[in-house]
Amino acid sequence: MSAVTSNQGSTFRKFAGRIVKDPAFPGLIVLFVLLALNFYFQNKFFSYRILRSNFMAYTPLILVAMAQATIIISGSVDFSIGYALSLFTCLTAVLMTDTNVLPILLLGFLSILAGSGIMNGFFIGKLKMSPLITTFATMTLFWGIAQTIMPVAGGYVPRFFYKIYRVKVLGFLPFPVIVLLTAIVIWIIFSRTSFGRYIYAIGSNEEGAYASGINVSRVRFMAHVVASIFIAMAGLCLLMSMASGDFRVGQEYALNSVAAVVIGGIALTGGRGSITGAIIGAMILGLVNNIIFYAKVSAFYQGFAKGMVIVVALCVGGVPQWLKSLRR
Amino acid sequence: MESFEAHHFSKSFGAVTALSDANFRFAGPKVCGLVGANGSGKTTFARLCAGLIKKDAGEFIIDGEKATINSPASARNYGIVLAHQNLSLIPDLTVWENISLGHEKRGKKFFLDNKYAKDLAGEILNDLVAGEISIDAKVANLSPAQKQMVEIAKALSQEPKMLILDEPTAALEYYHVEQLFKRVKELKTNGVSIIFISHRLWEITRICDIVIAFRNGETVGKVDFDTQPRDEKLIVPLVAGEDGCMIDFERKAQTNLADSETVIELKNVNYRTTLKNINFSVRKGEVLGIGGLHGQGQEELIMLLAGDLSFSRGRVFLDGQRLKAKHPKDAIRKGVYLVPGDRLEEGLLSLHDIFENVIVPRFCLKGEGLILNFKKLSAITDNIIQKTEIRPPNRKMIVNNLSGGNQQKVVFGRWLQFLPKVLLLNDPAKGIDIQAKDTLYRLVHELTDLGTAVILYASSNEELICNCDRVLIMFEGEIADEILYDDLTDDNLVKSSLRVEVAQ
Repeated sequence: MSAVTSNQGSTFRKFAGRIVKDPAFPGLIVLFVLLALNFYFQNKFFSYRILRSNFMAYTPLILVAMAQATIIISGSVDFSIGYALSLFTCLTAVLMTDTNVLPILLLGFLSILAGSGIMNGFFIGKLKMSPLITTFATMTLFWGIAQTIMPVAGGYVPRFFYKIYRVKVLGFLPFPVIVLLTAIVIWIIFSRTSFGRYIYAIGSNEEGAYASGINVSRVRFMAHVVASIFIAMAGLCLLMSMASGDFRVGQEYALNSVAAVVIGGIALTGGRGSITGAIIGAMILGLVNNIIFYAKVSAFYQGFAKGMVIVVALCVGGVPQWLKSLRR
Repeated sequence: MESFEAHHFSKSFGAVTALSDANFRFAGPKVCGLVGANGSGKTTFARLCAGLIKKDAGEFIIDGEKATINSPASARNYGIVLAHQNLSLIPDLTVWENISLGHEKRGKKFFLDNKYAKDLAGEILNDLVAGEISIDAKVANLSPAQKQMVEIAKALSQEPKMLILDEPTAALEYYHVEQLFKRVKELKTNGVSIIFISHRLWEITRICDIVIAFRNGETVGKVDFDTQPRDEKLIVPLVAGEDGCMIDFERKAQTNLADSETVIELKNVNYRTTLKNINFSVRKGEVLGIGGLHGQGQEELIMLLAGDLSFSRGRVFLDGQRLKAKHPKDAIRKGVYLVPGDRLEEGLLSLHDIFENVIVPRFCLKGEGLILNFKKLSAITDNIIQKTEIRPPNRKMIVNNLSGGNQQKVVFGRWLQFLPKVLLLNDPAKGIDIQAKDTLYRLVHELTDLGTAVILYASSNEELICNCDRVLIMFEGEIADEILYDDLTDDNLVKSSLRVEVAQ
């Protein structure tokens, strides 16, 4: 291929071409369709109030999807994410009083880092155990611990603390958006280090990465540790929005995070896709809930309708791969 | 690098000995050729030098001092860099990301210096293949030759003191090879030593200063072009073995094919770029060998006939009728059976027992009924176990717990419940003991007596000589040569595979 002399038109075409070829592109289309549908069913959808409440509801899922994306790109998977969230809310809600908010939050963060990040990372990265089995085991473990320390949902979360979640920073930025932006900045920082490139390398071709001198087990370990930062942030948001602890709250998050990642065009086999895709995927899952509520689908069919939309979203994501296989 | 010595290296993978006594020594910046037949341990040696695998025994002496190489990073510390044959590239990353992978330059603090990496990649690639590969392209979208060039560029970007090129030219076009040679000569003048692994003897004689030959994991000889003439004929006996033409094999008797009819016929079969215009036919009771160097399209040819790949152009006729095998089941229904090369990956349900492995091909047959007749099938399985002498003779044995030879007997034996029209054997004796091999080929010949046509690809020449009526030599996806029963000797096979004029 010869070098293309760039002018205004071809730069735009190049940019557009890159977006169209991005694995997250089908997800982006689905997202726009869902936004339009949402607007159709809920006319005030684009009002500040509604957008803010949506962000408040779906930020934990977006953060969890970012965590899952980091892990899946590195060629692993984590099903314990959901109950790690449960554990976080239970642990903090049980111990929290009006005076010890920060130390308890720190404790929660450290327990997620140790349990979800370091423990899973050690088993999967260093001991090379199957991610599926390992995280299934740790999932059960987290669930058990969370249930033990708080068999019934509740606990105490100080009012001034959970009110922060409803704060408008600078008068217009909802707090969850701040958390989200922080997570994205953290991701951008990591993506510019060797870690950001090596997770793609080990997920795409583990042997090749090893032959290139990459410490595969350390990078995979680090993928779990970095992801646990996002999980802890998700736990924080969840705790503040519920203002209580509940060991069942994480139930849906494990599978939803995997679904979000797949809808966002990230390959389950690792190495392909982007964090942007995961964010798009999580937004899609969130909007589906919203649409089904406002479309006044009968409660009997809500599960069915939601399932159908997710199936369609997944299919759209599979289209580029399918087209490729036809060309072979 | 001033001098490089490797003494008495050995390495085994499980029961397979890849290297038994490899020695390697040369001084000064030189281009050192490494030759040897398939499985002689060249690649194992290269991987040992690059720290990718750990030695069983042996020691490196670099520039007069003992050196410890036990990881890719430690090899790199000594300046040893390997351009891999089985590429080390990451398909989902771009060309420039791949070239700098593992040795990225850090910019300020801990961020990567991407501009530097792009500039470096562009510069090195321009030297190698001016303007042919865009550094922003994804490696997955490159052709095999382009990938090989990127692999070499990646090795060069690490500024090696010793560069190991493991069969770099196998995937390259002629003009790429020329460019590579030019670059290799430049490197040599800059003081870089190069180990050049290749099957193509004309390349070795052209570019190398000395040649070291491996056979069965041992160093068997050395040719120094400073004192000896640059002649391929000096190298051939080292690769083939001095006594190569004198080994007396117990050969099968030639089948009389005068009045047997053609079973399978290929007309102008092509597969992508790996197979070009394949034409041949096999008669009833004939054993046709497929030979040649490793990776010349033999496996693709076999997989294609088995319906695992769908051919892009050409026709296959079975008993005079068009065979369109788009899926393995089409081939099985027509009586074309495959014994694949990798029994655990392609041949067996390794966690299931012998019985299930034997009956599994029946599931794609028509007219088998819905309900399995366990009594009948058990009897069939027991019969097969008896015929193939599987040990222990218990149809409830989990296949994973059998030895390699017995596993192969299960893969092969399952076809004995039918009468194969065509039997495709992809290196059936790989990694199995002599007894199992004897049993296997005895059964093959029993089948040919009943009229089965056999197509046999074997990586060892001995197997081809002992068992075939004639052998087709493949080279770069084409049938390069045909050796008939009477001319079938080790010498002829080696020379023909290496594309040296067969002596009269």
